[in-house]
Amino acid sequence: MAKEIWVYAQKDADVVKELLAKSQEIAKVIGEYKVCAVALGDDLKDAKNLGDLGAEKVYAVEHTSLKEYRCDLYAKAIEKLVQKYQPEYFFFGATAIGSELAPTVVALVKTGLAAHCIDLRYGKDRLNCMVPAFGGKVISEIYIPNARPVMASVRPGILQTEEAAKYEAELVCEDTSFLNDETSTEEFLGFEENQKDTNNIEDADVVVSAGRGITSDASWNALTQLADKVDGAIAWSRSFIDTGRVKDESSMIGTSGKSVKPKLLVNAGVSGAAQYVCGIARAKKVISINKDPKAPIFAYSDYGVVGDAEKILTAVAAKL
Amino acid sequence: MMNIAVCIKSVPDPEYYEKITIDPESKRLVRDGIPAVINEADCHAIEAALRLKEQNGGTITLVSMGPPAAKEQLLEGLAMGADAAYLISDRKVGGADSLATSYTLSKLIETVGTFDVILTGNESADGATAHVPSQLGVWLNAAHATNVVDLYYDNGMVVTKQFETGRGKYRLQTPCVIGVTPKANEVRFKNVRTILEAKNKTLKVLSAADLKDVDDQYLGLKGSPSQNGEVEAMSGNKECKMLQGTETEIADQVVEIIHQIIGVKEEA
Ligand SMILES: Cc1cc2nc3c(=O)[nH]c(=O)nc-3n(C[C@H](O)[C@H](O)[C@H](O)COP(=O)(O)OP(=O)(O)OC[C@H]3O[C@@H](n4cnc5c(N)ncnc54)[C@H](O)[C@@H]3O)c2cc1C
Ligand SMILES: Cc1cc2nc3c(=O)[nH]c(=O)nc-3n(C[C@H](O)[C@H](O)[C@H](O)COP(=O)(O)OP(=O)(O)OC[C@H]3O[C@@H](n4cnc5c(N)ncnc54)[C@H](O)[C@@H]3O)c2cc1C
Repeated sequence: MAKEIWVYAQKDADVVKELLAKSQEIAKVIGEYKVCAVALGDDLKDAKNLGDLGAEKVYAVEHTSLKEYRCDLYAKAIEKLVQKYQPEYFFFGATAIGSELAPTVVALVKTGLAAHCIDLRYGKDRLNCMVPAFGGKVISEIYIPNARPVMASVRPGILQTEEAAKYEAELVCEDTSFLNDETSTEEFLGFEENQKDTNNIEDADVVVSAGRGITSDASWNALTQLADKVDGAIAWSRSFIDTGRVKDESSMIGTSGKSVKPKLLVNAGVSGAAQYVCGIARAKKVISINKDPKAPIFAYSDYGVVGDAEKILTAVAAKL
Repeated sequence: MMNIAVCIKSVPDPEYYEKITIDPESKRLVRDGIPAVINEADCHAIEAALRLKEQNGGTITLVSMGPPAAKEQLLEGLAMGADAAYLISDRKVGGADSLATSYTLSKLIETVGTFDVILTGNESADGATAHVPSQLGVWLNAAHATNVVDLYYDNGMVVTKQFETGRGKYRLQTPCVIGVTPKANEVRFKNVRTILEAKNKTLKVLSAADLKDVDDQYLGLKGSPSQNGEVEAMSGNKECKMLQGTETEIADQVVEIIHQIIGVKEEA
């Protein structure tokens, strides 16, 4: 067993940086572990740069057949690497690719996988992976006592870490000739990029979010006006969609929607269901307006206003 | 002709998750009185199967692992239009993590038929790991895809997967396993006729001993590499400052807070 913590270095995914920083923290606690990145692709000449994000060593698995992501070939290549070097820990970002690749690798090497964790904590002589379930109502400590590597996928954008130390990474180029004879069960047919989102709630500095309590035209107008005055993006809860004012989940906050991390989040007429608050954990300051003083959203807020959303929003928008 | 298996899980109704608490002594989840339903995404998997059957002909077989009461959800799935249903219910398969769950389901599937396409929900509402479709693919040695928002047959299963930056299209060889998201379709309504017909369809409960070629080491708690430590209920713990006063006074305070946080915007 190698004293190594591996991070799957999905191309262009911000979560890789977060995972490498977290791995450095864990390595410090458990001692003498090397933090390594695992990169796959058809052109990895920049893989060494993963040192800048915190990797001491980079395993580069380069082959023409890895140009496009195909789960079966990627998983096979990773399985081979795991069998060869036997790392003790292996983390993936819970992106769409990571959430598919990690369980595939786990089933091939027959170890355990903690699912889309919100934190990784070392304690009680084991790595405790904090896994949300029941729509975020419950957080369970998942650990993997015997099987190795200990594997976890981690929700992007949620880990709180220090800046990672940078390294002049050692580059290990793997022999991938075995892939010459591998055939894939998947044919890649094409990729269609998302349309540019002009209302990008994930990166906005200010987000104003509407819940089912925004019912009247006047309250919706006041909310959009407020958002406009502070250059804020407009988001909503799932129940707000039922009011018919917006059509889809493109700017919905929550477990089935998006996570936001603005400097300021304003919630208006949002009750604070578990599935919703999952998506606001990283908002720096939160102001919530709700007519019910007992609404759970207040326990996730820095400032609370008990009152009618229409009246408050209108008054605030007028003064900005 | 296309033989389709659909994995459906009986889960506590998500509408009631606010009511879940944790017993302070045993640290166990208390979810008494919450009714069971078919996992939402699995209803969309059934709908996808119905459409595939309409286009290509074939059969739809439901499989599930769970307590005997899960027969109710299988019956409901039959009423939605599936042809036969099998439940594996046995202490030996209980306490399973996703790896052991997917192994058991793979053996159940191999025991009850030969399938071209295996559909699952992409993710359950309770455990919600979204591991099972990928792991099933490995156990069944079949191609697999998750996060699927569109699927049809054309010389293999053509699936569209949702990624963060866009949608990727792939053709999978059959047999294959597909994790279907609610975005893939709208579920049709059941009608009285199909509900009555459901009672005459095959619905069998199997035990671990009925499964073909099982390796016991992969079943249940013993076959589960991951374990549950403590659980905690999620609740907010921010100290919320409640703003007081008349509406105008409150609005003034809100404006001041906004300015403190994001700075005062230059007048245009
Ligand atoms: C599997 C699953 C996944 C889900 N995923 C998500 C998700 O990703 N995102 C999400 O948001 N939801 C999700 N939900 C739904 C979630 O459980 C809640 O139902 C939803 O978040 C509630 O939205 P809401 O707060 O807008 O509405 P409600 O819960 O109806 O709350 C409305 C609030 O507005 C207040 N109010 C009413 N009128 C006024 C007024 N005039 N002025 C001020 N306040 C007023 C009320 O006091 C109340 O607190 C999911 C549910 C399930 C089962
Ligand atoms: C709080 C909590 C946290 C957990 N964390 C983890 C974890 O981190 N890692 C881990 O390995 N396990 C974990 N588990 C255990 C896991 O939830 C169970 O193993 C479960 O049986 C299978 O996973 P799932 O419900 O997450 O399925 P998913 O993979 O989310 O389900 C996807 C689809 O697979 C099918 N499916 C899943 N289960 C069944 C079934 N029993 N019968 C028929 N079809 C089914 C359905 O079509 C479903 O829509 C956790 C459980 C809890 C309660």
